[in-house]
Amino acid sequence: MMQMSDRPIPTHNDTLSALITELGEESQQVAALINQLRLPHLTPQQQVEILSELLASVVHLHIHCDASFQDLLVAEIEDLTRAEPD
Amino acid sequence: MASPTTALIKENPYIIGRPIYEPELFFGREDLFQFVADNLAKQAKVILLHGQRRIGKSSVLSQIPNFVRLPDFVFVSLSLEGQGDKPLAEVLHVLAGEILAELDFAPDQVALPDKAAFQQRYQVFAELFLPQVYRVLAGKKLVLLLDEFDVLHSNGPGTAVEQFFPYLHEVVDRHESLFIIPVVGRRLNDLPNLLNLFREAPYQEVGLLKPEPTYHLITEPAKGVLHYHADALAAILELTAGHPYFTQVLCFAVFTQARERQQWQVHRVDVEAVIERAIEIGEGGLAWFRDGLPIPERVVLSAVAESQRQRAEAPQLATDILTLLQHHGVELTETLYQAGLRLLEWHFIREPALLPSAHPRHVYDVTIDLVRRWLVKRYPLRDEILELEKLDPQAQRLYGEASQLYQSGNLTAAIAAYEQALSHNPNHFSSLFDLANAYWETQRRDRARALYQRLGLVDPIRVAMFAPPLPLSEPATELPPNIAASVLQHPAIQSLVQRIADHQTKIAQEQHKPHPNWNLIAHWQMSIHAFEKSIQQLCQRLESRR
Repeated sequence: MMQMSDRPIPTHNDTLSALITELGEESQQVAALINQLRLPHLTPQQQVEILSELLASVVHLHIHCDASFQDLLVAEIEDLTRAEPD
Repeated sequence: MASPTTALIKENPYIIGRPIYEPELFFGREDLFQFVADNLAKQAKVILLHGQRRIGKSSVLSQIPNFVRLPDFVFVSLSLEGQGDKPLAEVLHVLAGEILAELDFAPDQVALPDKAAFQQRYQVFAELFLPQVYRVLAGKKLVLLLDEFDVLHSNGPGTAVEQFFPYLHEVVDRHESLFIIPVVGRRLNDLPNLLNLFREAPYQEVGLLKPEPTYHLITEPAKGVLHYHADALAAILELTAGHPYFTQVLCFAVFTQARERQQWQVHRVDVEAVIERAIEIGEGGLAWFRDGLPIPERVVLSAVAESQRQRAEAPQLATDILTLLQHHGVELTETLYQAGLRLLEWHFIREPALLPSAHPRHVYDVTIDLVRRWLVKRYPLRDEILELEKLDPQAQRLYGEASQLYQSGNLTAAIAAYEQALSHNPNHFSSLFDLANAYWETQRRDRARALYQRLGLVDPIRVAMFAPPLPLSEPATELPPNIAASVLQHPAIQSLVQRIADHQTKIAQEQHKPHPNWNLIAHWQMSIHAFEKSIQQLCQRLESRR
């Protein structure tokens, strides 16, 4: 059975759909890394490894959520608002 | 349905490749003739007509005497074709001779000063010749209809161009009985200059025909022979947008087909069946139409044609022309923006028929669909963008110098020269390709890779054949010199490197799809750039703490 997370996001714009999926994956990764950091008895080396992964995720999220992504979101919101019956 | 009479008809009644001199075969333009009549009546000394190539400007000019009925004005049609290289005295002598021939004066009524007299003093045109003409016209005004007016504008120094316009301007100002109606449109670039020269002149565009006169132009020449059904008329209008030349070309092809098949009823399907043939017949006119455009306008026009094709195939992937050009590796410049605006202003392109609220920015249609079909076939965007190289002679010169330096093995100097060429013209793709190679050879792999990536969009085949292979797993960043291996093995660097590799894989997979999503690819490329930047900063930081 198809997982909820595998389903495409039903937007009008394929790019936006793909980017939202990617955002979800990266966010899950961040949440998982933060949970790992909460684990007791981590060695300093383990902490470095988790924080390194977190750094890469944060760099990715920073560029991923740039102005063009925000523009796509706003455009989709506008489209949906226009399409909504009075 | 072939009748005995129609079967015998051999001659195609549609006229292509020459102006329409026959008033009975000329349709529409009532507004334009009214504009001319109103302005002449208001004593406007100069009326400027302009329009695209092949829009029917010469036909309009030749019909002014037939359709502008003002008893106080006498019209004389003159063509300046072929006069561009001649000195002013010679041009004026030719014009004087043509005026006499057109007015059909008896030889003893007006004496034409000989060529030597003009050469000695070209002012004889206004001082001796024209006053005699006015005398014979007995109070009527002389209107010179000047075809190919702008031909004089495109030539070098020493020809009539430097003196003709100012002189004509001065004579028209001084002579109460002299009026001129020039038509321009050979080159899009020339119009602003001419409008500037005749600043006070009223001007009007010779544009597309409205539907009604277009239908007349389609049906009248073949009346009683071909019967066009309403769907056929609509199909022709959709394809030609009321452009008289292309309408005649299409109808010429329709007639030829009808004659071959002896089938004289025309439906939409018959029109659609002759599109290819019409493009072949109109090839000369189509090329002439495009040749009048400067290179940036040609590129934008092909971009519009390509974006329309993509929209037709996959409406959900509608790409605006600016993004489309970027997806082909073109750097957007002010010249390209301006070219788009000018194409809109000149009605070569138009906004698609959508509600304004639904209209995305920078999405356009080629106004004449027949032109769009021809462009997609003959001038695909990928070929057309290569023309952008020719835009800046300085960049061309620097590229030549850089190539010599490259061949002599002086890569550092060659790199500087290529960079300089690109600062003059960021779309000089030959410089871009050689620069990428030079960076690769001097071990600046990061820069080389960025350039190859852009070149892959411009000319994927050339990059695939001639660029060095780009390993995906290699750190894609140009690292500061002397970075210790231990720094490169740092988990933070490694995780960023891994992210670059992941994104490169995603790009490669997307590029192999039948319809790659270029917006996503551009997004991932930006992400790679961000990872690279982050690696650089991190390396410097870790190195400094070592």
